[in-house]
Amino acid sequence: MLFEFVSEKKYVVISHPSRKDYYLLKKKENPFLDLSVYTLDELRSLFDYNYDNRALEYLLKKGFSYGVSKDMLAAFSSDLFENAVEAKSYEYLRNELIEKGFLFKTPHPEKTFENVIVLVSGYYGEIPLIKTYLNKSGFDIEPVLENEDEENGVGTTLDTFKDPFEELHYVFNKIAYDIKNGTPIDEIYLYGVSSTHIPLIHEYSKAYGFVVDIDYRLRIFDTRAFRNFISSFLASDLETAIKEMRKYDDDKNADKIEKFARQFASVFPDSKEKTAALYKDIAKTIMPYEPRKEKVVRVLKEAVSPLHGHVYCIGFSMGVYPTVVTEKGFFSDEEKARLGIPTSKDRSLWDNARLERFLLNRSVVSITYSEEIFGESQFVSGFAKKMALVVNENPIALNEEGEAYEFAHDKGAFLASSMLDLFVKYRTDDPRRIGYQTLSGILDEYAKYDPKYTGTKAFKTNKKYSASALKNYRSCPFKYLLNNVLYLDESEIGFPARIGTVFHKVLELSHTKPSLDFDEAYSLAMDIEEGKISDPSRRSEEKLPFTAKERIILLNLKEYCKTSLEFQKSFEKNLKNPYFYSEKRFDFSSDKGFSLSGYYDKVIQFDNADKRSSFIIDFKSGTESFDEDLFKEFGLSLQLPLYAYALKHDKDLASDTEIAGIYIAPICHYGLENPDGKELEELDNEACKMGGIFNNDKMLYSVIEGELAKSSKFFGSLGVKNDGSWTAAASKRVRTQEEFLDLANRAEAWIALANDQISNGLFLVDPLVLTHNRYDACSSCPFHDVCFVDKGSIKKQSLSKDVGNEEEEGEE
Amino acid sequence: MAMKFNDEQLAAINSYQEKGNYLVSAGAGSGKTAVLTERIKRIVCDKTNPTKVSELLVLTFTNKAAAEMKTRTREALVSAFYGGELDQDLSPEVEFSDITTFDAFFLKLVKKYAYRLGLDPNIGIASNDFILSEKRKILEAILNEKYENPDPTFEALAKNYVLKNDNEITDVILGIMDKADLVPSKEEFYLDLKERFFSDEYFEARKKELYETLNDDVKAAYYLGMDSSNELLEKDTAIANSYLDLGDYETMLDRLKAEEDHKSTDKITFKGKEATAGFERNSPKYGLTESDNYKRAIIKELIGGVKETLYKVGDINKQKEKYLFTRPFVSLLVDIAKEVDARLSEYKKERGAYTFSDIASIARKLVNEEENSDILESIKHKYKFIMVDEYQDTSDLQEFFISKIANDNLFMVGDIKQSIYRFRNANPDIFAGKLRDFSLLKGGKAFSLQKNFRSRMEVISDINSIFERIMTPSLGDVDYPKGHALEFGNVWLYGDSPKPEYTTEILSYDADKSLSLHENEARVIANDIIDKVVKGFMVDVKGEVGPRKVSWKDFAILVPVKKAIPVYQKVFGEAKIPLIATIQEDLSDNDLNLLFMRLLKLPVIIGVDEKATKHCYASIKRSYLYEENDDKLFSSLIDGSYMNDPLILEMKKDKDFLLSSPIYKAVTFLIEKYKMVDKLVRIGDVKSNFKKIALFINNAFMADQMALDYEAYVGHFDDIKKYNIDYAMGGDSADGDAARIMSIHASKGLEFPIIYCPHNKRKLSKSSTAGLYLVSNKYGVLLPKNRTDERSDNFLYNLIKKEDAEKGLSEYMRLFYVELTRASDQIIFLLPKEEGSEYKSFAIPSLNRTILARKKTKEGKSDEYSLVNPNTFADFINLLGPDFLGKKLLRKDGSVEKPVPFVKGNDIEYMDEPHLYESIEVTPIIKEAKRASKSSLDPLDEGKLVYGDRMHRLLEVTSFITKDISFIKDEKDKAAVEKVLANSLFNDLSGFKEYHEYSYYDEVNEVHGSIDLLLVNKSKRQAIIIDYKSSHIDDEGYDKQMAIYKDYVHRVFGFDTKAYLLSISQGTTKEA
Repeated sequence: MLFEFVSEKKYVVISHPSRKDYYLLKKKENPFLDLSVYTLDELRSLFDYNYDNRALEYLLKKGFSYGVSKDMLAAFSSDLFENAVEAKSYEYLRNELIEKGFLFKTPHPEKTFENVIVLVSGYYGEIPLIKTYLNKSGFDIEPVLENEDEENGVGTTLDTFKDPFEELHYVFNKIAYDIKNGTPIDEIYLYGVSSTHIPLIHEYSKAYGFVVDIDYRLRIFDTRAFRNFISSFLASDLETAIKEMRKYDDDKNADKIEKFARQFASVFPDSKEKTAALYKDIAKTIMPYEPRKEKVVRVLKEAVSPLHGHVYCIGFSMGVYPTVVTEKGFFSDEEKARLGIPTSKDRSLWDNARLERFLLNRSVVSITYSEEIFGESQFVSGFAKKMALVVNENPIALNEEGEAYEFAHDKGAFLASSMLDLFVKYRTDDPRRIGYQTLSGILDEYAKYDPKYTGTKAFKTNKKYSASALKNYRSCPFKYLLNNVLYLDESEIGFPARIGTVFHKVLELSHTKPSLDFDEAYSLAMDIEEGKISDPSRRSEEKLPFTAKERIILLNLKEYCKTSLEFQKSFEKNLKNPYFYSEKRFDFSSDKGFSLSGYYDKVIQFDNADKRSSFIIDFKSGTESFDEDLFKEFGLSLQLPLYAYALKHDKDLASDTEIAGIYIAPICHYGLENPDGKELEELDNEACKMGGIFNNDKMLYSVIEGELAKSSKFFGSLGVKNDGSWTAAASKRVRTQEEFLDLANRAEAWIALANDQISNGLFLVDPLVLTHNRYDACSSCPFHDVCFVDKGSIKKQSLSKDVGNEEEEGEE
Repeated sequence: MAMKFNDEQLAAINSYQEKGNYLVSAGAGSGKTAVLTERIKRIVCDKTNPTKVSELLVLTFTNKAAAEMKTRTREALVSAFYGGELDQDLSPEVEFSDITTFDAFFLKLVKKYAYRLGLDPNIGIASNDFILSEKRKILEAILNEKYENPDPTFEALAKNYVLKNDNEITDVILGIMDKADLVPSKEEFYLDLKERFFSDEYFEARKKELYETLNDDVKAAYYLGMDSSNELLEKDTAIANSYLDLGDYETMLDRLKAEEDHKSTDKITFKGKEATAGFERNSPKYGLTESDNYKRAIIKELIGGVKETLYKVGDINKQKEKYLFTRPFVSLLVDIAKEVDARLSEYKKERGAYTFSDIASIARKLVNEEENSDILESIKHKYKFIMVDEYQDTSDLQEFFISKIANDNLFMVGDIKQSIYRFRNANPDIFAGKLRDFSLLKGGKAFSLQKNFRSRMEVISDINSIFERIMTPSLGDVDYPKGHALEFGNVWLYGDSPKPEYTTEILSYDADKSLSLHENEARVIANDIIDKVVKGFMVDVKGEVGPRKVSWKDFAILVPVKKAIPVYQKVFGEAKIPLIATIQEDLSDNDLNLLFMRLLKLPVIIGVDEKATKHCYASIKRSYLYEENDDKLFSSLIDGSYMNDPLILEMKKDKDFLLSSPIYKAVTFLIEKYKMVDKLVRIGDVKSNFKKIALFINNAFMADQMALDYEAYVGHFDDIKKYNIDYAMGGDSADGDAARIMSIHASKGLEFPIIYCPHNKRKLSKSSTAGLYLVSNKYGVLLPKNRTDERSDNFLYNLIKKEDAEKGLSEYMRLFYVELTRASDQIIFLLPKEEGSEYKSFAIPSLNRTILARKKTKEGKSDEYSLVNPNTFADFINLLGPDFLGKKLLRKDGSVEKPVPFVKGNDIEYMDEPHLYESIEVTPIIKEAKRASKSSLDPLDEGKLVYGDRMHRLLEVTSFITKDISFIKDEKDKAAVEKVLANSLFNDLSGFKEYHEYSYYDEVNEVHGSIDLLLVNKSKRQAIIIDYKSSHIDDEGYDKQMAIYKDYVHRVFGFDTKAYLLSISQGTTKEA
């Protein structure tokens, strides 16, 4: 039986804060009841010293931080301060505060206890301390303890579960059962909720149809209101800051902030920074405002059982329960003991006693914990075991008589499917299996989402293609749709690409403005890239200036660009009547219903015997090379053959020309920076050599390089043996005119095919991934969050000539 | 759990009786945790020297270990209490005890002494991703400042080391910071990097080290050949001898110069071949055996290597010049690192958020600085016994800390052979050093527990066979045969005659080239498991009664690379073998996370960035949240109608709310609104996907604690991507009858009846020194002269590399040891069949891959084998040699049929008769609580008892009816109260009852408060409310408050109610 109050008598209840409301409600039942409720802190303040903000300000001004000041004041308020040994050094401060009236005592505390009955509720370990205070009143008071033992409950069980999913599943079923049996929801409590439980509880609540009042408390410091306030305060002044904050946050938090901001505004009149630091300290100690809820399962924050209620304890693992109060504060535990202030040990013991009482209280319906919670292993609290509870060794105890198994409904898909994940774990006789059945309708939809492209529409396009667009299509049609039809790529042009642009421009200027020396050309190229000077040959786009770092990098790279340029020149100087097309645009329509556009980096036409020959050169600042195999099999490496095809149709260029070679010229090759012991000069030429395929006409070779040599100075892998035949490496690199034409025609065929598919709306999610790390369309694709393709399901392809094992694997 | 201890264990347990330091070297499965727990129990139960649980400090490395130790200790104490060894049940003490992890203990100390350290006592642990990205941002900012305003040194640094980007200098700065985080003293380390590592003494020491390294190789070559009577080998040995013990580097170099044809090193065009000049070709006339050939090859390789190094290093003074050239750069980089550190500390301090490594270095200050000597003393005296579990995993910093607080009372337990956390800075040398010293009774006493109670004798004997060949003091840090070999301890369980079916197996298989290696091996293993289950292979599991047929849960696959795990999951899924994976999920690269990022980003970029908006829109609409029809979706993007889609319109509406809410609120709002959880059913794998979502929410809480706002939080995820920051979550450790798969690291401390060891042919990467720049605790910062400077001749670089490679290799050996010792019943290796002979992979590997040297120690002992250069775990296995393999390792006929004939796993049958239960609908009512008065005060208002409040208090204890104020002694007080009591309102109060501070709680209107004075007359049915105000009572603002009082009182009493304001200073009243 709980304590019964009568109107004729006068009562003081020393109550744990969580129970205060209960006693106040008693007065509503019987308004004539003369009953005052004090918490332990309030009881303490009747007998010990009190202080106010003036005391706090006094200490703050002396240079103590907010936290330290608060702790000192807590110690100063002790009546036993004289007992302190080490604290003596602060006694002068305390005396000053008393003298100024900032530390003061409540007048006539004994009057509070005149002719009253004192009842203690929710305090257990603290009782000796409470008695000490009561004795100070001069009356001989033996407090009455609230008798909770007979409060009716269901009885406690302790159950262990594998993870919080199962644990909450069990607990929520129990709660649902409880509600069904008529327990008012407001009398149901969850204890032990941690932040990791929150999202799960949220979802379970939906499935079970009752709301749990989860209240995750941050600090005022963490609120937007405070952030607005403090940044504006530092930039302006208090009034402006308050106004600024109020603009966005006219709420209770703003009230709280304004209140303390004004209160402490004058502590550091000369230093805004100090004031701001103080505000931050204070803001870290205040909880933001949270609205109250009703008709909810409440979350119990402290181990004090409500006097009417059914409590479900979850997450009851070691390390969490019982809580251990760590030693902190300005004074050490030892000193606190002398000062008569509760030490961390005291607090731990109080908590311990409270928890012990709590667990034995019959309002606790069940205690559960899970062995694993989101990646962490847990162990059941020995405390719970020690309470000699009914320990159920079986992980699941759902067979209580008459209790239904599954109360989840409506939104139970989540629950059911989560259980389905663990299907393999449940035996056919597991009662949870019944639960699945109730949800079978929902589960019909299980795992149906399929991200494959279902579109049939052909989107209107201009059927004009560039080499890079076509490459996109070949690597993944869906990527082409997103990138080249819908233009969804948000990525900005990176600095490495801009380096390439500058280098290209320098190489172009060497032809278009031959009068410039290298340094002038380089800085002009940089100016153009930064948009300082408009580029007549290209559409003007918005250009950003280089950062200081980028400028330094560009200057560091200058030598490399120069080397590339000189290499190109040394090659060109051997040509007869050369004619240069630099950054030459092409744009023409094919009779196959598409058109092509783009820029050749460089086309050189020159006289070779009685013919005009053309080199097509593409500059690359990276390591990309021309891979004919990839082109032939997959249509990748399309660029050079496409240029060859374009050349044949380009009316601006001499049409009777034959192709002397299609090449990639490395202009800032990584080789340049990875010398591996080679002298830089030796390396330059090696690294600058052009790679690609070459006309098999040996005469052409002699025109460019003079005497036939064992290996070419200008072209990678090109060499002639003493007997005049091509070397083995070279024979893989030389082609007849017919073969060049064949490549060009293949390019056309690939384009026609792509055009056809694009026109028919074929944008399948079909990324091309090759073995041996040769190509992976997904590796840097920015659209994985649109295609959602399961990377594991992509069938890797290999070139027909590939053999052998897969690539080496990296370590963990 | 009653446990019988053997003599070795008892000696270790009872060591507490004598003051001193003890080290227990405990092999795998030797019951070390039981020993530790028993020792704790005996200490606490010992009545001759009473010790409280709180006087013990027991340190572990993982929460799991700490929790387990606590559980075991508590159980031991409970049983001691019931067994009469203790008069009192001390088990509750365990919960409060310092049986804890290093991290938690450091945090506790730092919190406790926060004020002494000038810290906020409420410091918290921040998630690494926030700290790391902030660190990178700060570094980038500092570098940008330098680029903007470069000083000459920085200019030169940028010229020398920055090419296409500054990744290299960024890396070296981060490298410096990472190392600094782990050393006992950051400040000293920074100073060392700038000063000590450039001193002459340092350089001389390194020169000497170089000489010794070279001489060691010469020695090894010399000793290898010295016993031979073969003519050719004798010649080889003579060449080796000519380089032996020459005393210093210069003399050795002179020796090279003096070689025929090489008058000066400058003239040598040195290629590998020349290195072995002087060695004759093999010829039949010398009658070389295979073993001789093998020895010769090793000698050549060793001497060739020495000569090559001499040639490349050449004049060491030139190297010194080059080295000193980098000094200003190193100095600058260290300064930048310090600056980053300083700014990052500010950031952490402001938020009160630190990483565990920060906490450890702060804790170090507590025990190391003069001004804190009292703290050190108090910690030292608090603990009568300090015990450390898994001592082999101790880092330098932890060791420093322990050594400071120890008081001749240390008890350390560990197994150096299981030290596999070098990457987390565990330093096994600490354990090795102590073991060496303590074995000689220097500084303490060592115990050895080698009796294994985990495994069958077959398993133990095979493990011993492998490790006695490869674990040596120089590689693996122990001399395995001497005191480290496992002894079979479970005699009573298994008997003493071996059974062939438990012998270690090698599953050799023909690889299907169209499948990946992992898929091949997964299939072989799946088949083998099914085979064993079907045939009813018997296992004997600890804790169970007698042998039983094997079940899924008895198998574990320990993989060296995590990325193999998904392949196994797929294959085992097809095979219907339940499989539970312990895997860290990389959250940055999964669909759910990508989608979540888009959802977060949309409100920020809507109306700002059209492309990004479209991208987000496409992502969200195509995801499982909407499953939008593709034609519809993409048409709307083309014609712009997507802007009228509810998703966009709602997002626009919610934008302000989202951007101004705490992040966790915004995140949960989005998850809720877009039904991320509800719809998980559409993509399956619900539990693990839910965990990911839960992790997003936790991360959001963390962001709030870091005081990030919404936009910054979105930016944070871009940073994670940009800086490649680890954003991962822990694995699933679900239970059930399923096979397990995990990394070898994750398997530490676990045991399984049958383990599979796949992927044995993967290359061991022995050195982590791949970059252009090196930072090392021992060698400082090594930079090349510039980006294009060659490093292969840089002897310092080579010294680091060598040291690192040896340490790395030792670690691999220990990893292999951990892997094999997990098995209780059987070990099964996987090896692909090699072309040609089936047994080829078992033969001694070819020389270019692995060199097995009988390398003698400096003392010339001849019984130490050393594996100089193994490349794979297969090489370890192969070391057993053909004899051993022939005798002991059964080769299974592993030809695999394709496709693998999977036996169907366990089928699931549904029960019928579904039960349906009524739904419960509860509507939440959310109302704001209002406070009418000041019943409970804000902390800031505490004790605001100025004059008015003092009077307030006096009136509170004064009876307005009796008007007896004799208890008030102060005359001023008395006069003031009299003035109030004289008010005519209180003239006739007969029949009234007075209530002071009438506090109430009206849960219907959610109002609570307290009325200063309530006077009630039951018979007249009258109630009077009096509210005290210090002076002014005319403020209209009071009316609202009084109205609430009146309403409440009238409602509960049902009487005629009046309310008055009372001016305490004036004594006047006014009806409200």
